[in-house]
Amino acid sequence: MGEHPNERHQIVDLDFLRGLIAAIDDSGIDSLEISRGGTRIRVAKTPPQAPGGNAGAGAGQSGAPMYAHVTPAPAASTAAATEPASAAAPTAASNLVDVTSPMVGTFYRAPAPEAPPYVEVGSKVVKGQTLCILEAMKLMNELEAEVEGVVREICIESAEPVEYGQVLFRIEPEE
Amino acid sequence: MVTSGSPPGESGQDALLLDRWEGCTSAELRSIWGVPAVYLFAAVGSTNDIARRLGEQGAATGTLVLAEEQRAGRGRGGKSWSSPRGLGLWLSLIHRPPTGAWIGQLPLRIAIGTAAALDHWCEPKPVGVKWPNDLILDGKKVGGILCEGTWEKGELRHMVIGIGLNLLQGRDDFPPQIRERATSLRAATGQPISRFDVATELLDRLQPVLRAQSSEALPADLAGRDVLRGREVQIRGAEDARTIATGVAAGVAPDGALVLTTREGAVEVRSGTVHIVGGIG
Repeated sequence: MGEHPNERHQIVDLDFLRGLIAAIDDSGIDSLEISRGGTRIRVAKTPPQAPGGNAGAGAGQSGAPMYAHVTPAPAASTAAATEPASAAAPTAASNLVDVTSPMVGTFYRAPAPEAPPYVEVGSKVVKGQTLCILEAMKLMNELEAEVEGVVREICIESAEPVEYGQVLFRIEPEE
Repeated sequence: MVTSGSPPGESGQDALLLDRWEGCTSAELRSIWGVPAVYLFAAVGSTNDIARRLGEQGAATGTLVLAEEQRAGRGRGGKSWSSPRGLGLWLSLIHRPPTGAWIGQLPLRIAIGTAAALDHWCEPKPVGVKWPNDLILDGKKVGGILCEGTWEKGELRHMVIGIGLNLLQGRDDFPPQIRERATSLRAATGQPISRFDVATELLDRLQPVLRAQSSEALPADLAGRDVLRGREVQIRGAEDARTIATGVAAGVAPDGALVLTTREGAVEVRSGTVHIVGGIG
């Protein structure tokens, strides 16, 4: 928050980023997200043009486009938004849709500690699909996706406190 | 009488419809309890799951789901809730309160209302509430509340209030791992218990609780029920059980948060699991 844009370039080592992109390109994985020095870096192949296609079929295609998305990692305690965004608002710089918290509470990515998370970065979600649980004094609230698309960012760690209006996910909508 | 079929809200073999509960049909219970609908099941996975699906299908506020047995009864955070056939009250209600920060108080308000309903069998001793959603008798758990909300577009679409009350179990009816920490209304009071009477008293007591508005103060009788007050407690994370805070419980804040006196001063707790040092839970 309040970070000067130039500072981001100093934080991100370009050689490191190139290495990361090459590593993803050569691998079978679709995306990778790491936190480094307070900066979160996510590198992902663009979603396949034909959803549901055989994942291996893309290997022979020429130069699958890549993109890298760099955002400052959220501060440990984000101040309460004085003017919270609506529950789902397109972000200014991209077509990603923010999913914000409708309450003060605790964020959980899974229904139980040993259960798999509801969604991961790269998960395709449909409208009405559960994204997370927000707990407010033992009231367990399931937050549902309002748009169909692909989860591009999960902005907070599980079991962390959230404020009203805080961005939890960024979803790339599909037409 | 049990009939198989395709019960509302749950597919598969798990849910079996029930014609009568405690001798009453669902239509009779609906009339007696003054609720819009009653769904009776011999056995379900979880009454909350069925109520949730009914809520998604537009079932009216106040619709009740009641089962003789839950095969996958749930507590908070995916913990199981032992719900053996015929020995307790396992029910869920659909509720649609106005959206607002205050709805976080509802688990506590419902726990207090449920405790007040059980007082009838326990007088003069008040049934205890372990913040925010457990019911305590003789230092053991006699019931619990699991409230689950579904949100869309920043609004609460519906809430399911699950209530599990241990009524008729003997000690050996509880799984060994909770035998020392759980009790039933009959075991604790030594009285004969009618499940119908408990359900009727409970639903009567919950009516005003569910009509409560945000501006209403928490019930004054909470202080007398608060089993944590004055006890040393640990607040542990729900996911990794690490201790978040330790202190002496000092009551409940107006918004329903647990107040803890710690070495660093008073803190208000709104999430995590409460463990009494050297005690239950």
